[in-house]
Amino acid sequence: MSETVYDAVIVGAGVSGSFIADELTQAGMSCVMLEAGKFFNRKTYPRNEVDANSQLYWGGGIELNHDASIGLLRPKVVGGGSIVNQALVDRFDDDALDSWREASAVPFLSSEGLAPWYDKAEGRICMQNVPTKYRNRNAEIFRQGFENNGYQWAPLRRAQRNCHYEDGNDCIECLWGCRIDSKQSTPVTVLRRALDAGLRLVPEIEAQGVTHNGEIVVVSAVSRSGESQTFRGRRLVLASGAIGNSKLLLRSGFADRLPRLGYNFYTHPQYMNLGVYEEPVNAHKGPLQSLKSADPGFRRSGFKLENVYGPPAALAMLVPGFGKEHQRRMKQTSHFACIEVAVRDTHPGRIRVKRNGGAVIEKSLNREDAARRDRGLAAVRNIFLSTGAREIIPGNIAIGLHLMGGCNMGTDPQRSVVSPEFRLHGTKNIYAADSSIFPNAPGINPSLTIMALSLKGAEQILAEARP
Amino acid sequence: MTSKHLTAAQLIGLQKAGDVVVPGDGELPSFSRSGAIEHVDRMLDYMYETDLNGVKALLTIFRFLPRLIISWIMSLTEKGRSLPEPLAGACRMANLGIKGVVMTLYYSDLGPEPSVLKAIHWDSKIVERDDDLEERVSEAG
Repeated sequence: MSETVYDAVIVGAGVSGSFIADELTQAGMSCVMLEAGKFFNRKTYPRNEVDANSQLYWGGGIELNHDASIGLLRPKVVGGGSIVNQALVDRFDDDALDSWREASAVPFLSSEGLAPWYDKAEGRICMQNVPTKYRNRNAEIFRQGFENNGYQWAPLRRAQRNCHYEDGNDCIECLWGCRIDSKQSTPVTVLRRALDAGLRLVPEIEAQGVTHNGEIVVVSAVSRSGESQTFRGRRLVLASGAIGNSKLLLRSGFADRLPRLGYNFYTHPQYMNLGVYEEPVNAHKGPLQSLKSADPGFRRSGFKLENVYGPPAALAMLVPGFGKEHQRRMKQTSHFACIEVAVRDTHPGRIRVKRNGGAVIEKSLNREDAARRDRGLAAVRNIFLSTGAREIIPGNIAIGLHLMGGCNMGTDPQRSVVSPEFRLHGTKNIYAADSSIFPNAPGINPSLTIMALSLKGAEQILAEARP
Repeated sequence: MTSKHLTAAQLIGLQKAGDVVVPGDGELPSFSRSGAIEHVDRMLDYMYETDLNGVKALLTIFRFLPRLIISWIMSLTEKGRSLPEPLAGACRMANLGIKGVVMTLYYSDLGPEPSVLKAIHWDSKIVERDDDLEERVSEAG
């Protein structure tokens, strides 16, 4: 057992944990960070789908909800979502933040209130749009289809430094970690600074329980090899996301004092749709994602469209059926274009734990969410048909990539889990500022807002630590 | 071959199910000819025990079934999405389990003579430059 008492124990080395660790260590705090996943670098990232799915995600690649209707992709790697995401960095709009403020009664959840924190987060990373000349045909189909149907689109802002498109780089490879360190994953940005400032990072160890006596928080953890360890801190920062935070707290008996723990869980259910074209599309070449939907009608209708693609095994799961016909279609992958519908879900799910400590995710689409999905699918169909697709393969597997809630922020301890001071209600030294505190689904990629909230949360921690 | 997780019978079940899902044609090898099964532990090492047990149970059954029946079961799991719950859920789970293992192994193209990605015209690449790495890291930091 380690007798060291750290200023902060941070559980989770994803976006939130990395940003908070940077702020705390720069201020001179001693911090230890526990992460269940491995610590890769550009030389060691997985190079194929078997190893990527197995080693970068929980459950060997995918976790399923209670009735196997939604596949959840939950990163398990140092750097978290910033390693495997597509690096989209948008601020939330008034619609999302007004909805948050209404649900939480937290005044700073507004465009003005978060602006300084967005500014600071944007200062920590490089951001670029993909130059027009490098857009691939998948993006051009997306743009042309939008224009044919009178939908509004916009260039996408991505957290990347220099993808060297002139070398012919194909960014789909970076879904398994960016091998040229262009993507602004936290190991090349804030986490690196935190490590330089003395952060102790312990990868491949999973937090199992939390106890606290008011002054000291104790985290028990088990390494991948089965070794038990204990970490003590003057404060605990929960940064393992909606499922990770909820599961840890539920296992630790916090549900008695936090009645909403595990509730208010959202996923932005996403459906990847394929259009098959006569001419090659080569959606796997060049920048993976360059454009986004910016249509106010889509926003009002509760969905957005994303110009995405997936690697071969993922595509094989999207293509229905099996056998020779499936193989025939797989040989047409270079003729596939792809557009994803992301639903802004209104119907919250719930995270529970089983007796063995595993998580059960109760989450489904209600009638409204299904209608939002169907409106999105109709728009995708319009886009594909107006650009000459000879066949459409609609997505019939819901994927949850944005896992949010479970520890929602709010002023009322009976209706929320985390206070506006980023502390668990009823505690004075357990904090969270990641996607688990989201009051509802914003309908916008969450990464930049997680960074902003984490920076604000870190300032709160430092302010409360001052004598 | 041997596996840390699967018995010899379960490996035969996987080989049979794999060849139903990916039978091969003139260009693409069958699942068994691809050599993908050799790498099954790279996937199963990380799977949750409950999920792994479900896959193992199915593979044990497949070991003793003719391919025609395995094909019928796979068709049922594909079409079963429209059945009432919880039958539909069980179909989705079985389909994702078997198809997921087979497709991920196969399309990772890990066999001794990789040919799958070439046959589907998949040629993504990243040019890794060493010359500017240090500059990038120091700027980012």
